[in-house]
Amino acid sequence: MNLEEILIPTEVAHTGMSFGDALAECVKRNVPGIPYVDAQGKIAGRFSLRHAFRLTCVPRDYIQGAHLLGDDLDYMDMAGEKAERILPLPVEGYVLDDAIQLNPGAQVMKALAIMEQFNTGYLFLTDGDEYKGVITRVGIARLVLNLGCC
Amino acid sequence: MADFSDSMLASALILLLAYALIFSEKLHRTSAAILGAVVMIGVGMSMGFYTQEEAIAAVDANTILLLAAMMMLVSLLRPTGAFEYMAVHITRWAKGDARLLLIYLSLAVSLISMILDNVTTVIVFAPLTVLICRLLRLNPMPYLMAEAMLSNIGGAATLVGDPPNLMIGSAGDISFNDFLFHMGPPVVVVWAGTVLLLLFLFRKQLRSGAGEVRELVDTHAIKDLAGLQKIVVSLALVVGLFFVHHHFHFFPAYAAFIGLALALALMKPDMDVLFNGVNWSVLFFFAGLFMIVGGVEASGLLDLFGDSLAEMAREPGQLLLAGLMLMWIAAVLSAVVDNIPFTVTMIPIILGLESSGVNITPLWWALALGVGLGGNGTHIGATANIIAVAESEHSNIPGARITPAIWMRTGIPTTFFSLILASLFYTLFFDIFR
Repeated sequence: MNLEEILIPTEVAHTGMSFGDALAECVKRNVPGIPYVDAQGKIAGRFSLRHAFRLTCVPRDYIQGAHLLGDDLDYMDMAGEKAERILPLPVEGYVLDDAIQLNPGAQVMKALAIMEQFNTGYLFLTDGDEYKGVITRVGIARLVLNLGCC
Repeated sequence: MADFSDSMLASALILLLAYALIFSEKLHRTSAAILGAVVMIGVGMSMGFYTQEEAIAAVDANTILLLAAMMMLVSLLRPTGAFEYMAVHITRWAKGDARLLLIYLSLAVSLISMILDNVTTVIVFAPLTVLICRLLRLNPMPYLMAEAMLSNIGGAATLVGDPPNLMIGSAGDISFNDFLFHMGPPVVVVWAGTVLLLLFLFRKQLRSGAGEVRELVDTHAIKDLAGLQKIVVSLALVVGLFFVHHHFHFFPAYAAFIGLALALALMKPDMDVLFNGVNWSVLFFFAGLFMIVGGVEASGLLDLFGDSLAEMAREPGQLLLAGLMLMWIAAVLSAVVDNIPFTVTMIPIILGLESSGVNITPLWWALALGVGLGGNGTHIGATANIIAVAESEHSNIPGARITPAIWMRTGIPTTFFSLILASLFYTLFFDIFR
């Protein structure tokens, strides 16, 4: 099975890009994150939807007490006003240092194992310094369904 | 009086270097304590004043095992959701009243801290407190500070409430009941006085209206009801045994292990998860300190130091003054550095005074009060304070961040006030502390 079959090519986040643009790219490509590249064009981190939401609208205490929250917390949702303030901000403030990369020639089992090891649902495929795109666990599931085996 | 020897000089230097490493935080305190212990034993063996056997014997197993057992019991209790359930109901009882909420939350944390480790209690309650404050649109800062400070005070009331008390109780062969009888009343007075002072100092933050009251829901608070019932039975057994351990000649650690054994048999927990809940770093830190101080004691230095103190404390009229001095020195030092090394060092000195004919009983209580109350002075004075500060930073709520200056602005007057109350109590009722 070839990982490139489930590759989702995306733009990369970079200095000068806004939080909103990075968010839009994830939504457009239906991926949970995209790589962040430094001035030299090398992958230096990642923009992750999960991390972005943690930083912008899901404080730690919400997470710990999530099971205690009622259903009437409408006023604490991400309001339009807050979104307007956050979307133009530079993406750098929402980037994680780690960016787990995999060679396109790697086996599916290795991709799944690495996802498990790093507790993530997606990986970046790179050929040397060249970024190819994102693979996701859902993509691997699609591959399995198509082939009928793992 | 013995002369100052090379062994004394060497052991004192190792102790000072180890403590400097611990307090400077250049190295993790556990690493510094282990390093200090290894050096002390090596130097002691080569100079002939300390042996490996003496180093092992210097580790107070009752303290270490009691702490370990209580950590395991907390590790079994925490995932059941009991703390969350309590927090939900406290919020309801307060009915959105900012002052009542502070009193109820602080009372709950203090009562739990009398039996369970106050650091764990604050770790669990701090994020819940921020969440509750968010719902009620209150600034969590006063609540986080009050919980940390009052849990430190609450823990001072019992033998098992605070690690220094464990060490003092174990060294002085003081029972749980004796500890509660002697420390309970002053701690209640200090606790009530501190609450009133905090309500005054935080009057502006607590005046801001709670606005629309949003409640937490308890439907999913309890995650493991069967587990909760089993651990509550086990904890009740432990607490019951604490009250009678002296009668049966049980070490407090053995009493805790009886309850732990019952909990393990009833709950059959995953051992990896259980042992992950034990703070091994703290246990090894204590063991290292015991070995370092054991070396200083073996060198004879503490006897030399104790002889000088004994001169002062031997006079019955001076004993009260000695107790008060010890309390205040312990408190001031505990405000700026970790109170554990100070306690571990003071214990053999106080024990040594006994052989010089000094009635050391009042000194144990003075030490316990000093180290218990002093930690509130600064944000680094107690681990619970550091947790409260960290939680305030993570909350990202405007005005909630507890800076060192903010802490000291409240912590220093609170500590002084609580020490004055404790000193008054100690002086007025000195006969019961004898």
